[in-house]
Amino acid sequence: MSDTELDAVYLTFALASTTTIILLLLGTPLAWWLSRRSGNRVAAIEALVAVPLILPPTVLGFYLLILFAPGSALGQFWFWLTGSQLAFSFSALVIGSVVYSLPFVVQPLQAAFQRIPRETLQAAATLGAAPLDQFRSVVIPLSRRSFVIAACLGFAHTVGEFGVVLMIGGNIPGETQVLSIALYDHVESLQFAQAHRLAAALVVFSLTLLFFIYRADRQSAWRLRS
Amino acid sequence: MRHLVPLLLLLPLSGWAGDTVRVAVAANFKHTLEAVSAGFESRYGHQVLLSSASTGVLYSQILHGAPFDIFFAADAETPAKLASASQTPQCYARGSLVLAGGSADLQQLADRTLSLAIANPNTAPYGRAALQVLARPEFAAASGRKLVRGSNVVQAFQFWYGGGVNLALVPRSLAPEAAPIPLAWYRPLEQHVIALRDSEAVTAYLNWVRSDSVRSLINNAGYEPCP
Amino acid sequence: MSGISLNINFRGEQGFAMTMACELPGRGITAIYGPSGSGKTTLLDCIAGLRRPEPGSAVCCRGETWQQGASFTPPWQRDIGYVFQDARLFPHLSVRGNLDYAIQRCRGRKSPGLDQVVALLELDTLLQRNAQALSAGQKQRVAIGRALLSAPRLLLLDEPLANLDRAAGQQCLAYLQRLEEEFELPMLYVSHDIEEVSQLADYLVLMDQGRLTGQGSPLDLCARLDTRLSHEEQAAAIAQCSISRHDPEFGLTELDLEGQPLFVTHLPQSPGQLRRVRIPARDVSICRQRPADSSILNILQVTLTEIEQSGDARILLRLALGDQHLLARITRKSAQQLQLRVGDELFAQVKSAALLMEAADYS
Repeated sequence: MSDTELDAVYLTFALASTTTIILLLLGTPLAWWLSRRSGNRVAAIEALVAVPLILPPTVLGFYLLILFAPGSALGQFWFWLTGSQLAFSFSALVIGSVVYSLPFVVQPLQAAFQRIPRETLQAAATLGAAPLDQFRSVVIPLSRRSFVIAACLGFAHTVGEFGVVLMIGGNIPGETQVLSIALYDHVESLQFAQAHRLAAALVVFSLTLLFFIYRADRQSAWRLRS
Repeated sequence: MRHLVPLLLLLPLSGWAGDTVRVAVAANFKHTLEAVSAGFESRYGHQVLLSSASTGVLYSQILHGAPFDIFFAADAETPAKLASASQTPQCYARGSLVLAGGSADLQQLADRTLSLAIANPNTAPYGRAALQVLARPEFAAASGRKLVRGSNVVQAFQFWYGGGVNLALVPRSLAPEAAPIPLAWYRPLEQHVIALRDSEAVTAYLNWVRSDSVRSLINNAGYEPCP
Repeated sequence: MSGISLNINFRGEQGFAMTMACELPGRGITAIYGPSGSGKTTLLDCIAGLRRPEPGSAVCCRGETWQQGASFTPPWQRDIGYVFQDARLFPHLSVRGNLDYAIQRCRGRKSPGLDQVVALLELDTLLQRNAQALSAGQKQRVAIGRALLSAPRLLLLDEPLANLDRAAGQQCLAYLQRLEEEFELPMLYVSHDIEEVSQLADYLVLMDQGRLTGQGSPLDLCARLDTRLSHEEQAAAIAQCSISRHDPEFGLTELDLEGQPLFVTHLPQSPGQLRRVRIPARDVSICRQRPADSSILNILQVTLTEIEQSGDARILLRLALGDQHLLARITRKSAQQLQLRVGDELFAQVKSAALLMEAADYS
């Protein structure tokens, strides 16, 4: 594999991992909040979270492009904060991916949290567990499998991201040229051999990763049950 | 209800008395060709359907069986690959590069801190030309700059136009007021057209493009006449 | 103040309202008795802090103020243990894990030793089992152990025997009695079963439709005609007796009730020990003359102190026996025929004296 192809693989992996970690950190409290409350405000936020599911990636990419432009408020703030431009950078891809994959992480978590009965947490409270303690010692263990699923979904969805990156990435090798874009490039330039190679690498990598994750989760769940 | 489905299927057949001409046009020329085709449609009563992308993408589509009748490329090499005994490519315009953005000073290309957008060199002749310009020794210092690649010249232009990058190397037809790049700096962008199918409408269309009124329209759009 | 002081005003969904202002003892087992929907569980939840009464309510327990004015101590900071009707064990932990969960959150209070609790509730064979794989009775025992191990100063129990079959329930009751003796932990025990209540309670609180309708010792409350208790179908008086002697030939034990003999089936305890007896009103009949040649062994001399109508055809009688009281339920027709008057000296025939079982009876 050539250098640029390795770059594309590394970039894709880095983008998916970073996005997944950020989404787990942001999405967990959001999913918890959504699962414990009801009302119009909650329904509105649930709809907002679900928007990336139905919105075409190009629409999302379009608005992100405007959002990240150096002249925009966010662009200027970013420049002030880091000294470099946000548009067409890896960081822009991370932000875009976080928005794009948000429902894939939040929704499974929310569903899992909703399945935990209030009564179980009440019992924990009477035993001396404060809310954060309840979350750590009861909620997380009981929804462990959903965390795995949410992380896998978020990761896989980001790896497969194309439309958004096409609009906001700028196709810069080594910085924003992720696997899906590199593959597209090869196909467009009729370099089919390279395209096959990249596609194969992508498929093998994804399948292997998912296999090991699901297997590890199943093993520990089995141990717990017996 | 039984008659509804056949009726619906008939709908796409528009009320055109004449033929339909399907044209693949390189991104830089699309806007110009729209104006050209409008005149053709009103004059001859044939319908023109335009599909636009970068030259390389269109070529790939044609290879895979896309149903185009005419292909307007941005270079000479690509139509030559499609030439056959019955069809030979012909020059229809000569394109030129300009530097959009900042001041009119071409030395900005030596400035490392300015970001630049070009079309993807793998699929767009204008992108290849841009790379030839950037390869010049006086601009070597800026080779570490942020170089953004659009999927075609229009996206490169859009990146600059939307404020995402400082500069853009784009066709003059997209930014007529921008600073022209000296022609000696890149291989000539002789844009050729080739007919992929034979029909009366296709012949009429190509004749129309060659007519004097259309020629001057093309010149006004920012293109040079063919050599 | 070492008791439990409550002034609770609670508003729930669908118009439910509960108002309770009372002082409860800070020792022994206080039973809260009432029909379903009377607010018993809500009361426990308010004391535990799981539900929040209206502002202005006050909850104080053994010197600690848990709610007063604007201040509200959250449940995880109250020294309570709560045994729920459905056990609520943590499904992702083993039994040992559930118990450890409580021990880890004692926060410096002295926890009763794990070994002591395991021995008391006979949990040693269950320790490694997953919490979900237990029977209802086993789950409840683990729940009691878990609540104990969190070192509470007050134990709340919400109908803990409701999901158990009779045998498991009786066994659990025995454990609870043992618990009370060994740990000296005050308990608030909610139940809608008067027999459970009669067996355990040192103090009784009556609730109906979110209000307090009576409080006092069970001996006192059960035989009063002015409470709903005595008008229930299983109305029974509770009498305190001491063991006089055993009669091994006939397998009987003679108890002393205010100086009069009461025969019950054989008991293991030794003479002199106190036992409680539950005498259902329907099993007490009266006569003016001491009956001769009757199969009924237990004939007690009583004085009629109160007469009250109970339903259409029946009369409730309150009979004094020394300092204690019995209940009798007879037909209105009989009452008229006997021309009963308050103050009459009568004989009460007790058909069966159901002995309230104690923990020692199971050993």
